[in-house]
Amino acid sequence: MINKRIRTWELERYLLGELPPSRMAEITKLVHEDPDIKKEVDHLSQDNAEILRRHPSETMLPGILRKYEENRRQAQTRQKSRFITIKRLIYTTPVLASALILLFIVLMKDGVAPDYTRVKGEESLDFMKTQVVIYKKSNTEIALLNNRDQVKAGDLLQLAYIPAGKTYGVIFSIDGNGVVTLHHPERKSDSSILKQEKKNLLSSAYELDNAPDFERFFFITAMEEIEVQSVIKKAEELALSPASVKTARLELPESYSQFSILLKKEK
Amino acid sequence: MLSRQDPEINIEEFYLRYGPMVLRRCIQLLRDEEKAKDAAQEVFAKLLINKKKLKGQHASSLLFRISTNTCLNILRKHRHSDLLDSDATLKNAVAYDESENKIVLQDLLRRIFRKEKPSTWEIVVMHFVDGMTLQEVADEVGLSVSGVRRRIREFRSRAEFKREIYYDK
Repeated sequence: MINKRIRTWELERYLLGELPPSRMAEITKLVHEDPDIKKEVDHLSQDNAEILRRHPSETMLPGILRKYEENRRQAQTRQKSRFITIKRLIYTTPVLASALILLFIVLMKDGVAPDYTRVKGEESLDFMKTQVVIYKKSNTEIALLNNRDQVKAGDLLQLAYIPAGKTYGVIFSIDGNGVVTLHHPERKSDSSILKQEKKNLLSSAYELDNAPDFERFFFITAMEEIEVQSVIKKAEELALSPASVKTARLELPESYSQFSILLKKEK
Repeated sequence: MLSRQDPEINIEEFYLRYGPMVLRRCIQLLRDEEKAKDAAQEVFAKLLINKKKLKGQHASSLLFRISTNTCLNILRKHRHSDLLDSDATLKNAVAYDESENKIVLQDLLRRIFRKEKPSTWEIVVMHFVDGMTLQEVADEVGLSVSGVRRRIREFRSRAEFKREIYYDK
């Protein structure tokens, strides 16, 4: 027998298509048969649109991301204090400490100790600033590069971005030969939407070629979809101007933010 | 869009899809659009932190629970009485008699809720405010039906006890 009583939460999930299949089918049937229920569904759809009009994503997302960052930091602090408690326990419990040291020695001997990779310079990263972050990998370490740092042909770079509340972005570079390379999105026709992790690594690393003088990386961001094609066109125009290519900003709409980092090439 | 196997979240798409449901829930419980907006942002922030929990369940169900708990925490922290003033309500939960003074009832409800565990609040609100059956509440919160039934029975008996003490004073 069909349960004709439909609660608001059920109707919401019905509109989202997230009810069990049998209940979805029941409500669909009721919507077709009962004009009052149909009216309720229509009303809820309109109300959804009205709520989004009053609270558009542009005004909600920065707050969501700010709170996410706060929550994440609080969780880290809690984790740290748990770690301190464990450390204290180790110091105050010699038997446990000896056992842990012994275990560590055994693990080291068996070669299963974790392989730690140090990232030099990462402690200074500002996650509240929208930026591109560039790592250079060498045999011994991974280093975070700063503006005007020196690199050479063959260096392996990994790009990442910190969206810090921005929802769309385009990352590209211009080299000393005036070549523009798009890094995000992968294709000009793709959406420029950004992932909203605190820091997002691009899917592939990037080996520097022998282009001379410099590599300049740009991160153009906005709160609305960016037309990648037109940004790249502006970048190509700038690349043709040797006098300003290392310092000038792109001529883009005012609502777009621009970040750039210049790496100098070893001669 | 989010796949149920992959907990990767595009928060904007997520907000556009689930934002109205979350905001409606927050407005319903907090009765204040500005506070609800703030709470809804908190809900999505918590979703980002807990995205692994999305695996294997519909996002609407998880968001509904996060929204409920976030709002109930706000109400508890601020000793807010608007929920208890709702027509929709918890009156059934404490066997409200229409002849009773509404202000007295609200005061009583506040006293009862201050002492209850957050998980009990959640169950009571889902059952008495949202009209969920015991089975539906059990599905939502991941308890057995008998577990939910016991929690509600115990809550009602504590409420009844407090009510007697309250009226004896």
